[in-house]
Amino acid sequence: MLKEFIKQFTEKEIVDFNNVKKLRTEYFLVSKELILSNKPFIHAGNYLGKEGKLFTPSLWLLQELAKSTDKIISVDEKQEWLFICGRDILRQGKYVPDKLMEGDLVLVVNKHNEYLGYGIYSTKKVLVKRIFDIGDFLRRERN
Amino acid sequence: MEKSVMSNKQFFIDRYEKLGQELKFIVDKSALRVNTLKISHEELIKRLESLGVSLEKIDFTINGYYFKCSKFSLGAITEFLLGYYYLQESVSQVPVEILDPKENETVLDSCASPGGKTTQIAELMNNKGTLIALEFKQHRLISLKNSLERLGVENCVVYNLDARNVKSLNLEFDKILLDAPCSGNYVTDKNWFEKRTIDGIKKSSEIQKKLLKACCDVLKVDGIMIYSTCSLEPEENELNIDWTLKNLPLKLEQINLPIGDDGLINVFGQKLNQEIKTCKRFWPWKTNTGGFFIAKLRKC
Repeated sequence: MLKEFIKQFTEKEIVDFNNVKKLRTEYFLVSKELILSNKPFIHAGNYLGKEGKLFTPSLWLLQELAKSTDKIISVDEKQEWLFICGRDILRQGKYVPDKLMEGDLVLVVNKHNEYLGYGIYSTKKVLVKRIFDIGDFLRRERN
Repeated sequence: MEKSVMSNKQFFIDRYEKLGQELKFIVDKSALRVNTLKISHEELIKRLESLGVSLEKIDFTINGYYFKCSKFSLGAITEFLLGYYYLQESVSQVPVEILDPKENETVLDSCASPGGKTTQIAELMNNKGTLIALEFKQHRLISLKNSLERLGVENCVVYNLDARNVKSLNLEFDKILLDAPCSGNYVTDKNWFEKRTIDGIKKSSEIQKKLLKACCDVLKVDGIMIYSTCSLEPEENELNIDWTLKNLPLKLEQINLPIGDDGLINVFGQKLNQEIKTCKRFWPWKTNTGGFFIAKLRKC
């Protein structure tokens, strides 16, 4: 699922799959220099994301994808706040996409070019249907 | 003595008086630590000040700032979620700085969750070397994993393991942080006086001794261990270090800090090893921080 997720944004090899370890539903990028015990770990190296109904990428993976894709939507401060509170991004005025098509997965960035999450691009009233946002860090601990 | 007599606020006030101190209530200032793996001090200060947050450098830490913000919670904004800083009490930033972990080392954080000190260790290691983090309680692993991801830590391996069983990892460490589970203190826990008894503190002390022994066993010769608690009780601090010096191949080293009192060497009439003066004790009314204790130990 990790490979398929990355391919939706870029064909570039942004992760060395020789160093990827999967633990149940979670993926980790584990450098050869990291010393491991013989016991099973809970977390190791660079966390890449988790399989579920949809793939939940890590912050690191979002950042790497942002360097390698042009499927990006930039939002203003108000949209940023709503997005990280778990809301979809509504279309404001006439937005002419460049290289985006209905149903594309897009990364969402703020005015500082910082990755806030990702969603599904639409040409309708909802510009980006939210799938994952960084506000998830707070929701995970509440649950 | 009956359990009910060996607890409550007056009991502890009397104990501190016997140690030469007068308990006073303080308001602990909110603090954060800049995560230099992701952002510079200057950039973060600029970002937060543009949001109306005022920052004041904590002079006894490398990356710590007190902050004042009345409009919103600093634990819910983009800068926090992107891992640019960690909300961490001022005094609790000190143990890792004393540990001084380096890039090429193998380091253990024996009681890691929720990850404030773990991520601080990774930061000072510049995400190099190997950082092993242990967390015994299953439900606390989520916070630890979240912290590692949020702050961009890449050199950490987490095991769901009681640090008393750390030997089962078959690893040895250059440095160890033993920030031991303890009874806490009244500054960080408003109900502390109602909850704590001397029996509970003594039980805590026994567990801490086991942790000291277990960690010592996996520390390399000449390696450094930092033992710290957020307790003011000598049973969890100086008395444990006195026991350590008698029973484990560890010696104390001086801690150079512009804040904090020397460790106590006379506890309720019991004379302790003089070297314990090299430890640091933080009485809240003197340091304007939460209560804390730090000892720096080297394996012989």
